[in-house]
Amino acid sequence: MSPEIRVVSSAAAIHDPVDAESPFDVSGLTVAYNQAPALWNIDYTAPAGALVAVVGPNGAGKSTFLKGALGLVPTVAGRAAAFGAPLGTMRRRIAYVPQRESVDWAFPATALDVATMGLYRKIGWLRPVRRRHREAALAALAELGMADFADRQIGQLSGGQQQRVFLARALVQDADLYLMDEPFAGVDAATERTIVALLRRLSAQGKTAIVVHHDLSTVREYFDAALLLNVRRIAAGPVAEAMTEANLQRAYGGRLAATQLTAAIG
Amino acid sequence: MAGDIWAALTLGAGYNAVVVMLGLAALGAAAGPVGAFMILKRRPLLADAVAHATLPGVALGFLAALALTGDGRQPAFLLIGAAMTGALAAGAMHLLKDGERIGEDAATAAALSVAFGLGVALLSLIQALPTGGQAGLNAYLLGQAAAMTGQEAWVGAAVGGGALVILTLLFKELSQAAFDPVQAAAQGMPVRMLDLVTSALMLALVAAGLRAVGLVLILALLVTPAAAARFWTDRLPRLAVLAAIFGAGGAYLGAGLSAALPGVPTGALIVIILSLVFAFSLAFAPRRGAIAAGLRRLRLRRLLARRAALASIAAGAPPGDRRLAQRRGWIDGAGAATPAGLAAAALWAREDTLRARYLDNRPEEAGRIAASERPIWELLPRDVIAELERSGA
Repeated sequence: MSPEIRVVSSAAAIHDPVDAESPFDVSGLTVAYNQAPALWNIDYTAPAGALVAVVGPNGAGKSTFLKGALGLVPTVAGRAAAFGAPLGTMRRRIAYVPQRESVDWAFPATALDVATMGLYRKIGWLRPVRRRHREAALAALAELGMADFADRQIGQLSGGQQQRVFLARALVQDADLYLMDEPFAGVDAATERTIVALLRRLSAQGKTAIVVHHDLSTVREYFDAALLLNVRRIAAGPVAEAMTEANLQRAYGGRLAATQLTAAIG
Repeated sequence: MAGDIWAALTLGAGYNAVVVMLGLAALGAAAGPVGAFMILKRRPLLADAVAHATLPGVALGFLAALALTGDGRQPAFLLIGAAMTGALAAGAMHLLKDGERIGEDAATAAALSVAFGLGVALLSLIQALPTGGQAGLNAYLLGQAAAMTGQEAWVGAAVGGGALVILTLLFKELSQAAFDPVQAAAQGMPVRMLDLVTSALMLALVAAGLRAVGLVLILALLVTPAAAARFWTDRLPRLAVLAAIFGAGGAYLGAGLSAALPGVPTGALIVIILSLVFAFSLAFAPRRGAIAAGLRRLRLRRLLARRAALASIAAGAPPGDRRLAQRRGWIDGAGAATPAGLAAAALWAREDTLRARYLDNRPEEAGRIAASERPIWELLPRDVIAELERSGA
């Protein structure tokens, strides 16, 4: 990264006014778990209504980018805004879908129980879950083709079905911004199609989705924009502009096989 | 003696014993669901460490009471001391774990052994004092419900009842934070505060139950009811209610028996009763119990053997398991297929084809469809079956 760009981005962290237009606006985001930073001085402003892929090699800080923006891990510096206000004040309009491996699927709950959890915050303290809440959660499950599995214990579901339960829990929140961590990882083809259809539907309703994505060959087909990371921000913008051969080489170094590269840049 | 036990269990053991039993039942009712949350968060040993860490508090409380009032055996001093060092240990474990230099298990082990060692040393010190009278303190190790005063039992009942109220009010938030704390935090749920609530409830239950159950065994009151309840249900609300019932029942019976058998520590009796509940659940629970699982395996083996025999008959070969085929009337004494055997084999062949076609497109359904004893046309809607029949033509 050239020194000029670094100066501009750190200045942005201090002086830039919040972008009132963008549903998701991060500046100067820096996270360090141990000595080496996991994420270094990231600026990113998502266009409204866009489907954005967050792309980069393993350990590039893609998940950390979402968690840092949401305040789920301690940040060294940086701030995140949503819809023109600090992100922390906009949580009701944001739905987060963590990685599937992050929870214990032996937990005593059914698919419907988990989908309903998306509403707990909206239902509020001391108020019971009512029939209409469970019906809303059931509708979200049905939208993901999971109505038949609503009463099944979540450990009895396949990986793809578990991912759909997570998406139903996010969908039921009726958010305007969706942050998803690897929703396509380890799912079957039918689930992949279901998720793509869901993303398109959300986008058509003017909603924005920031999606950590590992499959370079489908970025072009599934997403409008891409954010290329490897600890630092490598490139961002419309997929065709961000996912150039030069940028991919800078992000992945020698780790990218020639075939992957061709698939990625189409 | 049987009469004594019966009298105790039916609340005929005198006012004090009755109050102790009911107070412990309330504690047990709250300990069940609190233990369920501890297990679901994968930190049941936190309770054990906190329980052991109450010992130095008990000893310090004794010394403080001795210095201030001249008599060390003041329950209020001992209780407050226990709660204070227990909380200190819980806080130390949180700090050690958050430092990420050592794991949670190592932090727990360190806190447990350091605090317990300190407690044992302090107890020895007290024993050497001329005004020692350590006998009262031994009850804190293994528990002696009979040594509890009515007042202490009322405190136990109040703590148990209060914990149950808090659990009920926060149940929805606690379950979300237990299942997926990261997603809950993303939605703005105060996950750390909820974590603290669980730990505080656990600490209150441990401190209040210490004298009756003993610090060595109070872990059993927290963990065993929930572990047993897990065999009976896949839903957290039912799990919590069941754990509460087991916990209350175990504590009530344990206290009742110890009123009739004064030589046996109450903690030990409660552990024995709860272990029996656990063993019964492990063996006999439908679906998740060991016997149900064994029967299920046996049924599947038989199903596979039947299908293998029919496959052989359909292929015109003698079935490998002749006894099974003969018992079913599929082959005659000479080993030749009977008309009934041929019909069953034809039905099997049709079912096998449909099953294979269906699972080609829905591999994730293999468990449900392939292992069912019912034929596939009873498992799937008629139009799906018709579709499958057509797709081969």
